[in-house]
Amino acid sequence: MTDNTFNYMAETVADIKDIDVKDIKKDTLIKELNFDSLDFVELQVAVKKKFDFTMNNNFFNEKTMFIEMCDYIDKRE
Amino acid sequence: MIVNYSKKDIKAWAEFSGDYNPIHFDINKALSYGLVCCPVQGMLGAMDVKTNIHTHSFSAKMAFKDYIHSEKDYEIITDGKKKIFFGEECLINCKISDFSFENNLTNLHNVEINDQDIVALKTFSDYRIASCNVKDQIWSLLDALLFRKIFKTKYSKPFLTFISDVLNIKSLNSINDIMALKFTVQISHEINVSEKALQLSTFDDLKYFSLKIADPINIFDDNEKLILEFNAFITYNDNIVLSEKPIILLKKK
Repeated sequence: MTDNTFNYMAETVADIKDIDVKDIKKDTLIKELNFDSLDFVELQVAVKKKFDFTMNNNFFNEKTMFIEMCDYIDKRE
Repeated sequence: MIVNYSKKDIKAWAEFSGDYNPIHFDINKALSYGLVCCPVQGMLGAMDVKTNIHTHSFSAKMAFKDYIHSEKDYEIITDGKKKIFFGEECLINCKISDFSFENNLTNLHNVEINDQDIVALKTFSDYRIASCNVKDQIWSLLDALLFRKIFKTKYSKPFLTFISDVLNIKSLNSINDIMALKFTVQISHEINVSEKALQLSTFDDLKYFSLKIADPINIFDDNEKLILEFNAFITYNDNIVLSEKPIILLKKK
């Protein structure tokens, strides 16, 4: 995972959830961020615009960490 | 500032904007989409958020986080000059930043601000003063006017063909046609407001302005949903006075 991806995603998620970017660590669980469906749509739109990649919500589960989401975006699987 | 919207307010906004999305009026339709009530139009809530912006030229992004219920009190909370929240649940999250605008749009449609628009604008403004004692600033109403035009604009044939195919709808003319048939909800609204717009003091000045609306941009498309970005702006002597970018989600099924 590149630092650029992590930094962009951390800033984007902090913006969406209105939290401090410093509260987002690599091992933060996605479920801890309490995404609702509209938050997730906002995130999908941001990822699509920045990386031209359509993020599939089936990728996420209870144990998905922030760093795994960034890896998933970097690999464009 | 406390706001509370009645069914009459929902109707007044629809009459002005053209936002007759059935989820705001037809409880059976709303229930069939999984909602628990007919919500208030997000843009109506956004009008009241905007009355709390007191700054020089600015850009603001409003994210619509959840539905606004009618007949319920909401407090609009201002956190310094940079953030405004609609309700304690933060149904609309507004972030304010320095004014910036980039125009790299293509397929622009020149749209006229006609007498009908001005009459509708004045009627809506008068309604707001009479019903909730709010005198909206002209720039805020101008933003609302752009939204009205976005709904009514007849977009280019390639766009209409694209959207007809994606949503499997025949005979599309405007966004209003789509809303009647598919679950449609606005998820965010971005505005850029110049000093010139903030100085507006009369509706009559609007006749000197030009209005342009771009073909909507497909920014996300999967099996379930389509997300479209709309771009509209107003110019005066070729300078941007005000622009807006609503993003709308449409469910395919």
